[in-house]
Amino acid sequence: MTITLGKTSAPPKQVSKTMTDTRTFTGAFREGDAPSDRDPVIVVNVPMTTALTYNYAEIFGAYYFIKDRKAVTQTSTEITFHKDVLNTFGAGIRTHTCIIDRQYSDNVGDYDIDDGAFVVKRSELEILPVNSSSHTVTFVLGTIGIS
Amino acid sequence: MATFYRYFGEPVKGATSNNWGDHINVIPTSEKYGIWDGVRYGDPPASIQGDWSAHPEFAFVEGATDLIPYLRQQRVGTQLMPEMWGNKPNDTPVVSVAANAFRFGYDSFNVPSPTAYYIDGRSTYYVPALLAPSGTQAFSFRLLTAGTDTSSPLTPTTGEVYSTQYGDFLPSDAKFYVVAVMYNNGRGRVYPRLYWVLNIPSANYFYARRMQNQPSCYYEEVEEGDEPDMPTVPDLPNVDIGAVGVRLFQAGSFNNFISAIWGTDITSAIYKLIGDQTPYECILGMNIFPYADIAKVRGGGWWTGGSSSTIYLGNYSTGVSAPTCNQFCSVDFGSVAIQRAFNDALDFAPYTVVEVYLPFIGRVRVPTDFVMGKSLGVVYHCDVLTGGVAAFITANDDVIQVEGGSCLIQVPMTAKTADGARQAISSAASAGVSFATAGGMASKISSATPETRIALGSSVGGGIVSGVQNIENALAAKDSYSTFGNLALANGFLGLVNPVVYVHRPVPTDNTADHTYRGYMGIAADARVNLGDLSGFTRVKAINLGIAGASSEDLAEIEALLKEGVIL
Repeated sequence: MTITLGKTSAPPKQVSKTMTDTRTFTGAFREGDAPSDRDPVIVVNVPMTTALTYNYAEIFGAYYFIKDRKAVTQTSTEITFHKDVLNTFGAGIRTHTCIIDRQYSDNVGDYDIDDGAFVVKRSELEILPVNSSSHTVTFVLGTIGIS
Repeated sequence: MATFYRYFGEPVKGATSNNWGDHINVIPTSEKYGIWDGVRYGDPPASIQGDWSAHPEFAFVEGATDLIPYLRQQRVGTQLMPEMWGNKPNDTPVVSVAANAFRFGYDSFNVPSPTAYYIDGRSTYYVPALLAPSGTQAFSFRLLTAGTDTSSPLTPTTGEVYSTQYGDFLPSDAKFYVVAVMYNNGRGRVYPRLYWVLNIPSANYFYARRMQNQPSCYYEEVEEGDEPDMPTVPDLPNVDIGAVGVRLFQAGSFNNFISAIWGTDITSAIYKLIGDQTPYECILGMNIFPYADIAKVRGGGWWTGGSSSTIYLGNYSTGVSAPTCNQFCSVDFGSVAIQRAFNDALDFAPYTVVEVYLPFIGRVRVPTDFVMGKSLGVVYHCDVLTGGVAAFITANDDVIQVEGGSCLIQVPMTAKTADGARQAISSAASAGVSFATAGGMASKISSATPETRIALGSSVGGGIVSGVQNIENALAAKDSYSTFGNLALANGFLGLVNPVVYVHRPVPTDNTADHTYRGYMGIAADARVNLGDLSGFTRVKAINLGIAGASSEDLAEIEALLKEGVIL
């Protein structure tokens, strides 16, 4: 089978990832393994020293993280992969409508929503006089009498 | 039950960044230039690029997400708003607006050079643009613009409801001013934004810079039928106590009045105390009212300045005249703006607490959410006869809270006082005790020892002790109502006589205050969205996922990741 190894500096949780420095190698599943498409273990015809320079791969038309590498021979390395479902199915993910509870853009997020994430240290007092005038005092006499 | 939105006057936050309404067509991605939603689409083609170095004020802001992309121009109708005229522009323009209007924002802009009006031989000019994209409802907008000629009014430009508007503006001055006003035509959302736009019509694109001085807007969702019908401060009671013989007189020197009711010598004083001539029974109270300068009567006239009239006690003329006054008056202390400090949830409860100190009442807490971003006012309705006061706390003139108290200080010259004293004096007199004056009595009693009292009593009979004790009781009672109601009222009179608002604001961490967390964990949201329209950190609350080719384990992992938060 053909395996394309490459590098990515994108965070694992980023849906779209760019793979650079790609190079194609041949490889095969280990004998006796039940091949998995989510966590395949493949012996790739690449020296260990070269394999160590890669952290991402494209196999079967899907994208994979490189989880582990073990030298098999001088020219081959057993690589354990894990499918990057976000990048692999990114297009399908983006077609979905959903309810979100946090978002980067303030066009979508609302700073007035309090979900408990605000961190405050203490409080301070702001004093706002409604009126600062001094006033005139007067006496008022109340009586009962004819007008 | 339908949901609508109650507008608070302070304009609203938020915009659907990729939908600019009916009158702006967003140029396709292939024709975009500059930054849009954080993505840089490159510089305009050289054929329309021009010398942008002459326009540093329009330089794109890296990372900005709300700049206008390149927009095609589409004319909208022209409407003049005469009620806006007469306002002279300045750096912080102030306009008078109609009752249903709010000033939304303003800005001024220095034109760098007259030569900048022309680029590549094309006519180029600056326009203010007010964008009210899709989702804006029930509001209309107007822009007022002017150059440096401050003698001329701001000139209304084009206007249209629910849409983008911009007017061609070929300046002859070196500085422009703009004021945006929006009209509330009903209930709806508001998503406006103001921009300065360098317009090159032949090239069909703009360069844009967001204006300053446009506060964030917000709205509140209100279930239909539950919209609060907030009362305003009511009229004063329309009651004429003169119909039952009660009269109120204001201020002046009452020395002659005192002489009239108590006489001028000891004999007449005692006679009036114990005899049949008891004019003080017709005195309902002598109070100190502390707000004579700002008190008004029903209808808006000043409470002071009533016509002078002779004071009668019953049918007995004291021969003293004084200005009459109304029983009820209104004292408007004014208002103070409770401004948002953080433009996020920290401005509201439970983080921010608002208290109002009310003279003669004390500190009361008001609902923060009701007053934040509004003008908090205090109006007292006072009953100057009894001292009763209703304190109306208002938010934008709507009454949100009413507190009760008493705002008079009673001078110890009441019927009750006199009655207590008269009873005591009568009791003592019946036992054969005589004294010069009430004041002398007080002096004598307070200095008397128990032995003296007994000696006094022994000289005239066994009933004297109880009689003297009654006098003491009367004097003690007099002390107790030396102020009206309780001593707290005197404290109020001697303390702050104006309302004060205390706003307890939180002090957030820098990360919370600067909203720098949003790149890592997003801003709180509760929105139904298409994930394809979003970028940046996103955390999903609920999704029904189905993707062709994805196994159930794949879908479960995707859903788990979306609910933890991903970067789109």
